[in-house]
Amino acid sequence: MYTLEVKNLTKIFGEHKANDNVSLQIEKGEFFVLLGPSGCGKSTLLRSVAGLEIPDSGEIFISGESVMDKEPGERDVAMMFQQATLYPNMNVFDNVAFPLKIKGVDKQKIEKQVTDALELVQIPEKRNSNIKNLSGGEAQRAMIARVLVQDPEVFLLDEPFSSLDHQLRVYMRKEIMRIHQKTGVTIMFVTHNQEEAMKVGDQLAIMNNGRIEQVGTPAETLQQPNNKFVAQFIGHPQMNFIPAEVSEQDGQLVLKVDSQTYGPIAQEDLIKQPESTDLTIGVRPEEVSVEKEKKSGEDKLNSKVEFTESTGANNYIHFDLGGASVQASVPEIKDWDQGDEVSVSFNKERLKLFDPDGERIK
Amino acid sequence: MAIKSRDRLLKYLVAPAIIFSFVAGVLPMLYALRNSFYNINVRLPMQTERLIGITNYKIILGNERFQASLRNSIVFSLEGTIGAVLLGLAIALFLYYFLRNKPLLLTGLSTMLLIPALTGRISVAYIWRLLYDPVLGLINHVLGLLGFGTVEFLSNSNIAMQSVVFTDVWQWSGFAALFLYAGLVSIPREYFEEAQVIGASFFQRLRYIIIPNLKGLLLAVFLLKFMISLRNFDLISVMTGGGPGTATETVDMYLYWLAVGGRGLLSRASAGAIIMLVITIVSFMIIINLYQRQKVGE
Repeated sequence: MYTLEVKNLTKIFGEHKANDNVSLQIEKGEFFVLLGPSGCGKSTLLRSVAGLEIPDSGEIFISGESVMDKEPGERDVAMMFQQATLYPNMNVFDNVAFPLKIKGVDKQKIEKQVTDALELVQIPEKRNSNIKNLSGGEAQRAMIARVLVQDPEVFLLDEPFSSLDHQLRVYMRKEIMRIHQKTGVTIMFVTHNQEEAMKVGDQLAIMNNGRIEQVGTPAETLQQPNNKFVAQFIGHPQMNFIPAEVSEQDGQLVLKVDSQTYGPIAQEDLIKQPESTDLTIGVRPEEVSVEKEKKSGEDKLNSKVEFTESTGANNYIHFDLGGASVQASVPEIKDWDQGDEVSVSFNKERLKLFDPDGERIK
Repeated sequence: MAIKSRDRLLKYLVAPAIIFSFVAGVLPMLYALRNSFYNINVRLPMQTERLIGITNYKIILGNERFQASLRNSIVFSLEGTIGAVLLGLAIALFLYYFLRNKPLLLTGLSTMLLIPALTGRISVAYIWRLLYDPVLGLINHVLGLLGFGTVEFLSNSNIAMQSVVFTDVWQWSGFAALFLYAGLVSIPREYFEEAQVIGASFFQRLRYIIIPNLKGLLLAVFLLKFMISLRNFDLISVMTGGGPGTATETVDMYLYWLAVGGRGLLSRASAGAIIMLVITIVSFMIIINLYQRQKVGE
């Protein structure tokens, strides 16, 4: 039995399909991240689970029980919003106690639970503060405490840290991971920040245009992307995409980039012969190796350096292959200059091939 | 130099308004204050004006009819204000929960809600006098069709005041509703969604979210409406003339009768007006003070 299961959920706003036949399963205690660009439907999905949106079709189960007929308050979920939703007319204690008060929990229990929650989020000294006097981080902690006291089956976090500055966001991210480890609660977390998603998530669901493109661990989505969208969305710096044409040469498959030949490539890379011969090679900058000067021979492509770039820790050179700008990681930036001849080869085992529809050929 | 001359220009531009309100508002008030210490009677124009100290105040404060009119004023203003604010809040909540996403209906209804407030008080008074009429009135006609007997809305001294208050509430609750609706819309939507996920009922939302967030606006609407209610001469004079007997006689009505309608005791009426002014100012100061103190304490 899954703690949370979504089956064939579709939600339409006017003409726009915010969620298009989405299904997913979340195990107990999992930190599940919904990741995708703005407008991909991830927040709509989360809100549907909370009961704040009513889906057009599909079903949602919490602890094996359908919640489609249940009001948001009856679903055993707690939600944390992007904006601070602490009530300005109550102090920190009353805000955190609010859900318990609504449920009619008796005063002593409220006192204990709220005190414990404030301890856990490490702001016990703020219990009587006016929420207007809280810093951004303290307000977030109070909101987490308010979610915690509800002791729900699933935490729903809708971009909870996106309004914080970078440093605080990194800090709160660690906090939520600490709290997750300590309490073992099931979390569904929405973000558009892939770095955040990779760091916190046990499982990622990458969404685009209302559909889930791939579900997997951070490592799986990074190393085995289902398609071009996932490949380009996950990982930093971005994967290079090079247009290529596949053809047969002496009984083996080779790739043609511009008029140069790369290959042969292993047959298993192309078990399913694509209908079109136009493919896209996907390769990460750290999987591209470069040598100075023109070299010919197997698995070598030649180009000229267009510009170099350094972030201090990492150095990159950029060159053109098949009309696409390609980025390669290099150890020393000073070895390279604009206009240098460069001979390029790829880490063949990591090479990804995408068909014209963007699906990866496995 | 440029700034100085602009400041001077501003003063000139504001001056007419200040002069007007001084001449039309402050001067008559000061004149009334002066008169209240004299013995002026408009029925006896030949009588010499004499300073008689606080005699007028002593007499009028001891007068039972004045005391009754003061009670009537307070009852009328408080009931009318509380009624309009509560009904206004109910209408605002209805608009918020059911019509928020229907802009056309919302605009139409808002306009309709404003019409009573935009209609002159005298017109409203005549309309309702007709509606309440025992013989010609629509209300009694409908009651008759439903099998009830005729109700003397304005000439039964037990219900005359409530009938007038009802008219006042009818006129102003739509106005209050629009103010409060604007306040409701400005409450962040996430506050409501949070409460929804927590499972708060409608009344819990009302108590813990809506009322606290609308507190300032509720008070502003309350004070505004209270001020409007205190000036009730037109409505009451057309609808009941203070009657039956003195059942709906407010301070305004009584002082008018005292100075103009009856015995011509202008000075005594002035004293009554000054007393009313002091009561009004003091009660407003107390309310505003309480509100501000609470705000600081938050």
